[in-house]
Amino acid sequence: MKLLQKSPPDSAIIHGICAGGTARRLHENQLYGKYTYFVGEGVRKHRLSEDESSMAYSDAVLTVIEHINADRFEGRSELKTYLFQIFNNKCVDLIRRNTTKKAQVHQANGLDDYHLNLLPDDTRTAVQQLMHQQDTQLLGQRLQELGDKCRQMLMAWGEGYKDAEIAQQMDYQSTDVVKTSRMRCLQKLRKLYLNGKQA
Amino acid sequence: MNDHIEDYFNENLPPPERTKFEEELRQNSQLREEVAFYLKTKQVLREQTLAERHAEWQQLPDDEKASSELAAPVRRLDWWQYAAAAVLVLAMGIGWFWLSGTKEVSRPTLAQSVDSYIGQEFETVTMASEPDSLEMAKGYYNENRLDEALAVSQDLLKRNPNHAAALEVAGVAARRQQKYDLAIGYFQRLAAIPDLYINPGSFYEATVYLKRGEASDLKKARELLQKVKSDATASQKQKAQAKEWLDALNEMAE
Repeated sequence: MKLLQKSPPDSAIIHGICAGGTARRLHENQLYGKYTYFVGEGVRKHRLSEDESSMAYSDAVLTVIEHINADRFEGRSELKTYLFQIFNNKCVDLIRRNTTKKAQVHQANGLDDYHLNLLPDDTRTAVQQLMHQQDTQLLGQRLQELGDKCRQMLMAWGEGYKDAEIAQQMDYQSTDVVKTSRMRCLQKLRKLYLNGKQA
Repeated sequence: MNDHIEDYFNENLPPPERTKFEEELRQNSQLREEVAFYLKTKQVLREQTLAERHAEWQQLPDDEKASSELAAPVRRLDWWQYAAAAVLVLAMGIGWFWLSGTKEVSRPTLAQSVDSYIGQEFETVTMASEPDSLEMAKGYYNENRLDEALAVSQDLLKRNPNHAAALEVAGVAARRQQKYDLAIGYFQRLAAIPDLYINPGSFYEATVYLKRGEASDLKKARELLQKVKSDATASQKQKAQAKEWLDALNEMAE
């Protein structure tokens, strides 16, 4: 029966992710499911372990989802080609991380280069250094200590949900309220983090 | 935290304010620290999201994943299998040629499109960590326990008759139960709520008419879909879907 299964077309997947709402997760899963055979490519071509290749693939899918949501996927190439390119880059990042001891270089892994690159050249390094000094583990812990609503709000934001969707799903009046509430939550998190650092 | 940080990274600041923000960033160490914290939090959230999604994706059933077997070459067929395939293709070609002379062929396509759209609603509900009444109603809907979904959302509506999300769940549950008039009532109430950033009421009402397909329904659906196309409170997805269905309706009318 496997041969009779029909994968949804890429256009439907992109449309579904872009449109958001309750069916978004379904389309994201469809995207993940449609090209899982890339994991095997990562093992064969890049000689990564199955687990590493699988994680690189998840990372690539998440990146593509983020790009679709942020209108950064412009449709100049097919979705499959785009995903495969990002997956290859993630694999190469992993190989570099595994084979070099230049830890400083790879602390940047996971940083949102797109956002960092928006900063002017003369402040980017300073901001990057401040980020390196911040304690990722402590910040993660403090995130868990936030109230449910704040944590949910920040997690939804981290997942790339648009403010309009967050407003709809969390019963906020408008996107402005969502934005203000998020900044308050970030402020609260920062206070918790700074208090924790001093303790 | 500085209110402009998010606008800056979302590239929503006008050029003069952007320049001012960057100048302040050079001078103000407190602002630099806030920007670093903002980006670091995004990074941590991204890592947590990746860990969660990766774990979730590993749990997907195998039949939802495209295995490498599908990408591998298929085995060669025997001559009689090629002959059978050729006969089948020929028969389908003749059938298509025969059917393409009638207008009815577009009707199942539209119906399938509506069914497919409806089938995707509330497929996954993930936002709340603790179940409340609304999440319960959505959960019942997901599990196809439509009576319970309807009862819980109606209960919510007793307490708050303008609860947009409850009207939405009640409407889609009623529609799936083919209680079309009831569904239309809920969707009309939803459409009448002012000040919603996204209001799917009219769009959903149109889906009921498309689904029911009575004589006057297609006209009503067409009017509503036209409205949705230019409605500021309709989502982009709904606008795109409205356009698609309008095209299908126009095709049927030709």
